[in-house]
Amino acid sequence: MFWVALATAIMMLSGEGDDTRAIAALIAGLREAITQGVADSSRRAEAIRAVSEFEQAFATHRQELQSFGACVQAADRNYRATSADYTACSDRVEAQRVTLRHSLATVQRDYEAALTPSERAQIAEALTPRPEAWVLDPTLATEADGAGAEPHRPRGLEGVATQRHLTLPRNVVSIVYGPLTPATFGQRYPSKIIDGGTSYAHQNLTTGVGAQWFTRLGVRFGLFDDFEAGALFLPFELAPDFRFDAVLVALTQQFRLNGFDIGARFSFQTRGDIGWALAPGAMVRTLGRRFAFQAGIFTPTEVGSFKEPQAPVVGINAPVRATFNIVPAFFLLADSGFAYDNLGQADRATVPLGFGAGYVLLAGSRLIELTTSFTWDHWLLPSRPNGASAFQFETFRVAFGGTMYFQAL
Amino acid sequence: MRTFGHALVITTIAAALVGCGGQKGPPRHPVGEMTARATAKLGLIELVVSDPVRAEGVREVYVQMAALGHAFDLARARSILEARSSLEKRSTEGAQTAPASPAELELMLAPPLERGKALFARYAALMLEARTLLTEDEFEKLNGVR
Repeated sequence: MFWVALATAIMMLSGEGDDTRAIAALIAGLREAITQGVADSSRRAEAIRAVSEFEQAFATHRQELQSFGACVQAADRNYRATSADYTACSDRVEAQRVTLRHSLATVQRDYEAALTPSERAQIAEALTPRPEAWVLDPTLATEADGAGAEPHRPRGLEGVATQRHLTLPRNVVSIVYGPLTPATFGQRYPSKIIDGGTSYAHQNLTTGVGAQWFTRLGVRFGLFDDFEAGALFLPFELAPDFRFDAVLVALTQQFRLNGFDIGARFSFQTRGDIGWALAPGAMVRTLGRRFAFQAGIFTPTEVGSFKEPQAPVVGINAPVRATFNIVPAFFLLADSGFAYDNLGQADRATVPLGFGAGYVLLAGSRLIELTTSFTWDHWLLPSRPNGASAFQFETFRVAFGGTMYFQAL
Repeated sequence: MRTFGHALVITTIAAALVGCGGQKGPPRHPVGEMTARATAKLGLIELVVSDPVRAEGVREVYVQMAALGHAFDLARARSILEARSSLEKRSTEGAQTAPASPAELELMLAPPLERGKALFARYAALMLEARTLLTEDEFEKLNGVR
């Protein structure tokens, strides 16, 4: 409900899709101009009555169009619909336009009879400078003026993993309870690594904890065509201790280019046992029919808390991910890259290595994606700190879960 | 208790946003929903249609449908601007001596009928073409998307 409301509010604020707003503003402007510009009360009342009739004609026209829309929808949903079914829908609209034209002719006559040419000219002069009355949709305004068209991003679910962009399309919501989503790509901080779903981490090299279980659930939302916000707001450590973990928030702005996307992401973790942490960075992703490649560079920084300030622990993380769709519904991926978890220490360079798989299924209007991953987060330690083995096969993380996508509006 | 508090805050915000975003006045033009039905399917066709050649054909049909919706929106935006231009020309007393054409007033509410008819005829043709490329089962699955 929250996301539907948010999507509605964004559309209302931006004016997009609100095709009655311009006409409502026009009618309001007309009434205002008549009220201010016509001194004679009886003529003013007549003119306002004509405006009300215009408003009524518009409302009737739209009601009829609703019936047309319902007729088309019924035909669209019927596999056996014929050309005659569609013609029946349009015939009705055609008849209604004749009625509309007659109503408008009467309105026009009444309006002109009520006012003098001078008053009508004054009202026209007052009405034309109102931009809100003449812009049907701000996204179309420049195009309608003859300027070039902005490339539009379809606002539907993106099913095939290798064809997905860095951000969700506008009004698409994702309930995240699984690993490998773009929002958790490269979410590696000096003291912890975050991914969605349920995960088992075997031997944490940083904290020294032997084994840990986590489960993290959250949401991503396409707020605009190329901007998404998301959070893993239900993060729990399940074992060895059960506790509420830090919330991860990620905001991503993408720039769609020819065949690839560039994105800027700002993530932060709320104050947990390690205090606040930030991870600004940038990503690039190539899209393909069967293959996609993603890389990023982030500077995760743990800054402590207001109560317990600490010297910032800064790392650098450059993850890479290759995704291959065996069939449209099933994909495999490989993760690697380079991470330096603490720039203040000389021996923290790491090359991770991971593998993952996902299966996507369409359930009505929802897309459900089941994912799993296996990662050696410290697979290779080139500097072999404290004489440790270069390859760390004992330190691994397994994650699994499911993510659901749907349109909010 | 804390969780309940959070839930209460979220519900209150949601209710406020719904209140702000509630539609007033006449209903919106149905072309928005017609376009949304087409665009909602675009990214999912390959999951439903296993034959890549047919999938590409279906995708092309839905891309064209989405483009038609945009073309109609553009026609509406242009007709409003045309109505404005006509009104602007009548902002002097001299220009108001001749009666205005009701067609100019009609342009404020809808684009020219012929343009709308032509776009709808193309829409219907594309919808029928989609049926020739899809099995009934595939058609119903895509129907369920929106």
